[in-house]
Amino acid sequence: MNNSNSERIKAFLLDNIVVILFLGIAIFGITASGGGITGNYTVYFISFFSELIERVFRNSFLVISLMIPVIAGLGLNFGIVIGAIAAQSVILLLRYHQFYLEMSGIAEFLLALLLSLPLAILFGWLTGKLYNKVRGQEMIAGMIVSYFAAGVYNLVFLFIVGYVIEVDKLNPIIAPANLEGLAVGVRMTVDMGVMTGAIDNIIRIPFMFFIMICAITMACYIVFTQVRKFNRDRKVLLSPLCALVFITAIVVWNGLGSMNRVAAVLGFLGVAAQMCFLLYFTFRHKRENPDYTVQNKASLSFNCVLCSGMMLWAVYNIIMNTFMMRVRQAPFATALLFAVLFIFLSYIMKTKLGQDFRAVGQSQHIAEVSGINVKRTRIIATIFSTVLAAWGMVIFLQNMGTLTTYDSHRHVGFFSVAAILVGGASTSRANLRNVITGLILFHAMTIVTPDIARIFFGDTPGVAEYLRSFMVYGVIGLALGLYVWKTLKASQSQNSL
Amino acid sequence: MSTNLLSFKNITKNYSGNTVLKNVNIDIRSGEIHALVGENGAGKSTLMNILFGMPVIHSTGGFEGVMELDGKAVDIKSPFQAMDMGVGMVHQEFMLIPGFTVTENIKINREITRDTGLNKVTKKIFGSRIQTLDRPAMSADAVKALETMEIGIEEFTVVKGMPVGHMQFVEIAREIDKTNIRLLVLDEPTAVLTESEAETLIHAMRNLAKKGISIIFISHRLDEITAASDRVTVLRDGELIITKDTKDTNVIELAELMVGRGVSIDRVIADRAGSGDVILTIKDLHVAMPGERVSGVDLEVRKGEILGIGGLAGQGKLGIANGLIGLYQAKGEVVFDGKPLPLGNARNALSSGIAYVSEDRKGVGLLLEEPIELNIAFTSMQIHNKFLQSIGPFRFYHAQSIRANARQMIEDLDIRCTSALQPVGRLSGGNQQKVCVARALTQKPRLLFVSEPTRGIDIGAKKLILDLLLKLADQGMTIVMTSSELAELRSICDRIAIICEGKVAGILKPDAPAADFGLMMSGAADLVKEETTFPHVIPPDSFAVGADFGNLGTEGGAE
Amino acid sequence: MDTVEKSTFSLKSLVSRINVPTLIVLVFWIFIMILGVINNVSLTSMITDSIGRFGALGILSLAMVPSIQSGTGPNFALPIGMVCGLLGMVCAIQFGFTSWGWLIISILLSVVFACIIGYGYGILMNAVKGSEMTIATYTGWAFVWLFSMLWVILPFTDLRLRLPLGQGLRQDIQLAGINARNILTNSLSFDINGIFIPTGMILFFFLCCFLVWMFMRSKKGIAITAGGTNPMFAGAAGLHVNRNRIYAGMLSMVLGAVGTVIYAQHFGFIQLYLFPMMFAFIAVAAVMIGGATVRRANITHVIVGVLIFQGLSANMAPVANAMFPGTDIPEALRTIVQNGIILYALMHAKGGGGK
Repeated sequence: MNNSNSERIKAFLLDNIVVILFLGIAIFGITASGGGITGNYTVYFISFFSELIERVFRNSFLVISLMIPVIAGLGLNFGIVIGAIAAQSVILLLRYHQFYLEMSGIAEFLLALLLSLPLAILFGWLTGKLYNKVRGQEMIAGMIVSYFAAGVYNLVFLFIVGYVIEVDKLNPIIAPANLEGLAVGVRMTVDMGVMTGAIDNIIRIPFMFFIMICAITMACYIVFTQVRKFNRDRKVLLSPLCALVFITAIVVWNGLGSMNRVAAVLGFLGVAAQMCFLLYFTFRHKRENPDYTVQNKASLSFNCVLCSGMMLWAVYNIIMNTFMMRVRQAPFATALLFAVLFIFLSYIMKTKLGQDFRAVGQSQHIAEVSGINVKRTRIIATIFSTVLAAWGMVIFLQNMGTLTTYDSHRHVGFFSVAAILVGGASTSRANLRNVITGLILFHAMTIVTPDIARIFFGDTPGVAEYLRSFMVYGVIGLALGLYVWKTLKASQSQNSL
Repeated sequence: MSTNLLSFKNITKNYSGNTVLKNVNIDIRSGEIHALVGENGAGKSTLMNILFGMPVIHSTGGFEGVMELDGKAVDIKSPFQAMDMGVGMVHQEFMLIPGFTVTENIKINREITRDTGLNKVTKKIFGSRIQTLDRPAMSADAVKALETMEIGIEEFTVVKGMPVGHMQFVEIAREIDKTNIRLLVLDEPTAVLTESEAETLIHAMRNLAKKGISIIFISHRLDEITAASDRVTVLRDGELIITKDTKDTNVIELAELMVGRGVSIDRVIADRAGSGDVILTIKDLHVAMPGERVSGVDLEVRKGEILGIGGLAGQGKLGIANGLIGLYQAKGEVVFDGKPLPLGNARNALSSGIAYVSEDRKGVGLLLEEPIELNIAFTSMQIHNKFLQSIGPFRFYHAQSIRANARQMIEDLDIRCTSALQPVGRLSGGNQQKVCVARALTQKPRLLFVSEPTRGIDIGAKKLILDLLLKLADQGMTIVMTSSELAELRSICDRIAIICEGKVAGILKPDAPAADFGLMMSGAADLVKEETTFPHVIPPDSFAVGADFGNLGTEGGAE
Repeated sequence: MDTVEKSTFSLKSLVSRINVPTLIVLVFWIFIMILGVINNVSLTSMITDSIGRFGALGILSLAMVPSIQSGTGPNFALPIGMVCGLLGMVCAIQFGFTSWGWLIISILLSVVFACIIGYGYGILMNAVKGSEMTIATYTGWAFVWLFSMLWVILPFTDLRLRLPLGQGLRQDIQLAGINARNILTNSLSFDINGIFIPTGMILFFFLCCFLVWMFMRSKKGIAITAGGTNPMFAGAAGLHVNRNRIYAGMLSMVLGAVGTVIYAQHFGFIQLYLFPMMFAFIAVAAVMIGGATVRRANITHVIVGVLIFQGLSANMAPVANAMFPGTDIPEALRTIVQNGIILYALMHAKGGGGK
């Protein structure tokens, strides 16, 4: 515990090297781009944030689905591709029948979630069983099994549909008949039809309003975690209640009309109220228990500054009605769904099951000796992940609007893993902070790569894609390699003199 | 005080023909601290495995005899069943999750969950695993358990980074916290503790005993046993030697009982005329071998002698040879044959004429899937470039000479096999050991380290191996033999160094009284009489091995 | 150490050594061939294709032997070696070599590149012991993408290499232009009843097998195998286990590079950019089908596995086209077989003796 400050900083840098690297890349990309093709920073930022907000929520469920297997010690679950395959199968089925049924978009969306659940549970169970057989090599096995599953999926939708199962040749998702008059397999791309934007477009709110809501939510989260750590003060429930009132007010205000300044004031008051709560509770604890200290001052103050900053940024832009108000509106309903999932996962981690995930993740041996059913726990973790990935894929596709039948699922695993790693997760540590940081940083990086590619390689087509993929695979290799190397070194130093 | 909580009645256990426990009867009274003493292989751990119904017992055909708890015969099939009956164990290796807090570790898999509000609903749908944890209640329990021991550990500390002594207390607290705990087994609990922590622990044990919890206390430190226990049982070679009230005995008697006075040693008196020159000098050797850490050994080996290295398991005796050879990180000053020997890579030691037979035959000693001939030739091929033929700049495996050498060794050492091409994994333990020795001999070493040469092989083969070592010594080879079996060390060695807690406790004559061996192993070397020991460092006026020992014990044994 | 196993050869050990997946895939292959014959696919062309692919892809699978034997596991970073091969070939064209000169210089250059890169790869694998397979895969892929960018900007000037318009190298570089198409494939070749035997290429493959076999019998080779099967044993015998793993990694990369040259001359063009991406899995699956595990592989596994797996891959397409015209199932089936066998090997990794 007598680490000097410089050592602590060194350790912090080493722990967060991937995050720092990608933050650097994103900032470099933005500054060096010179405002993109148009050369106009206003236009550039508008398109940057519009893209970012879409991509973050498009991928949110997929990335968060990786969290539980990491906690349960399975490493990064490359097998989420299987969840994506489950979702795609269900969507193809729905698209096929939708031609005749004509459901509404949201109904089809919900049905897709519902139907992919049992399929994803089944697939997750099988994957979990496999992982139990290849303990220690889950990641490579997950990758291989997703290729395997993709092979089976291709076989089914290229061949069995049409040859074995008879289908309606005129259905728009079935490939047009070939020379011999046989309609075999599903088309290469399938339009999502009414499902496009089924949830994204329910409520959209201006980007800056959304930032304000984020600031309020985050402030509330700070209050909640700070207070809950030390006692069970019922008054703390006032904090989310208050946040809820302000958020609803902002959303309603947005729906009513264009009185932007009122919304800005509401946002300011919302965050300010939470800060008052924070001061009140801290003061109260101090009075009741003189030994009370804030456990992690650095992280608390960082969070406070961050959420105040977000709030001020939003208030400024709204009141001044700057160009940022022209950023694409944020999909509020998807965000809400993500928040619900966020709360649900936090709840799960507080249960006995969550505790077992953690115990198994840290030491399978000790968990086993303590009587925890390790294999079963690992299978449950895999099922969680696969189901969330399946739902994530449904959300992904409703945002994209088209399903590339034989391609959409392929990169899901790698891109999600890269995202969570960019957020600072490792094979044994992942939390919600990693998920959110990763979503933002990784997608910022993917947006700026064409600009970086242009700086280095000129306007050659395709190079941006090469650079992006190089970064994706490179970051996975780098982050995993660094982690293994650190673990090996730690175990060596444990066995040294 | 006098009611028996647990009785072992006529317990006998065989492992594939090897009797490891013979007709053992022990009663553990309620609320007593019962010490269990014995060398390695005396049967302590087998007895505990039986008590906890470990799978290793049931997969090897169970045991004979009865265990009675509260006077009723019980049949314990798994550790969890033992736990249910109120029997808990604190293992030598910690069963703690480093990233968890003290509370979380104490309550692992026995977490308290809430049963109100939303949890009522979720329980109905998903079962009790989806109930939230009641952390305040868990903390309260943890605090209670820790307070029983009167040790100031905060329940919200994360275990990682705690002093090892505290981890030990957390382990015990976890067992105490089990509501129905009645019998607690502590296996070498003081090994990792500082002196003051050990005192606190003994104090805590007394507190627990007062509350009616019985404790089985396994320790190699006899002084602690006499200080802490009410009664003591000595096991030797699977037999119950005695159960006595601690106040009626003392450290010397226990040491003697542990090692065994009556054992006759078939000592072959070999008047080996060693030159007396020092061939190997070890100064302040430290070896980071997990579980067998060496911390500061000074030792000298003389040309032509057989030096024995003994001691209890985990005390570091195995670390010496392993560190010298370079299998584990080591530091210290070693001079072999007048030249300093750099540590850290086996190549240095092997190429300078040292050979090594590992105690871990299957893990380190052999390539199990490869044939005998390759196993025998391997080290000589790699280190001394023998058995190779050169084609251009490359050197290839020379089948004929390898085969010839293997045939010679098979004949010399009487290795029972179908051919030199048989994979060694298919040989019996004794023959595998001979293959290891054959590889060492093929290197034509001047100094041979053998560790646990007779572990896991049958009696006939044991004798063959020991005879072989004697023969080699007669031919002038210097041998350092490390063994857990004192009798075997005493039967062939010229001097026996006893290692305790990573250091040389003393060097004894093979015919020194049993009690002296016991005392040295148990960290009570200061009670050993001087005339039975050798000095660590040989006086400059060297002497012949096998000469009169009597004049030598001038510098005393222990450090 | 296959040498030694061979000497204990007996019928009993042969039976016990044939493993189930080998048999299943073999039966499947024969089944496909029978289906082909029934559906009027020419048997001779099927056999010709099988032999061609066997010769063209054999060395890539051979690359797995040193890396598996050294304990690093299958070389999932094979694309790195293949990129070295591509670089060697492209450089040889740039330097103006044609025909046999091109082939020899390509091989020499790619060996040099592969040695350098393989050394770095070996160091990396030592740093990440225990997770070699996953990290190797990603390093390999990242390397392919990196070179995809480099193919665009590297200053090659030969017009046979460059895109006619725009920047960068061509996707496919025709070898016919430098008289190197099928140069090894056609040498010493002959026909038997319409079955084309590419003697030169097959002989070259067997020569490589022989050299690797000899190497694994040499002092260094035996040391590498010992370090792979039991690192503690090797350490106790004074071997530098980590250094030997690096040598094995270099050899594996060299074989990958040479294998790429042979592959390119057989098919008649050099494919740049994403071509090497998935070859590691193909090469690994072949040795696994031959009976290798992630801990143990020998030349027999390579020869048997490559013959069966590449034969199957070569024959599935024409047979499927004859039976189900207009579908794309051979690729799907190959993916299933290929990844199924790797999964099987991973699941049985622990039974193989390693930790």
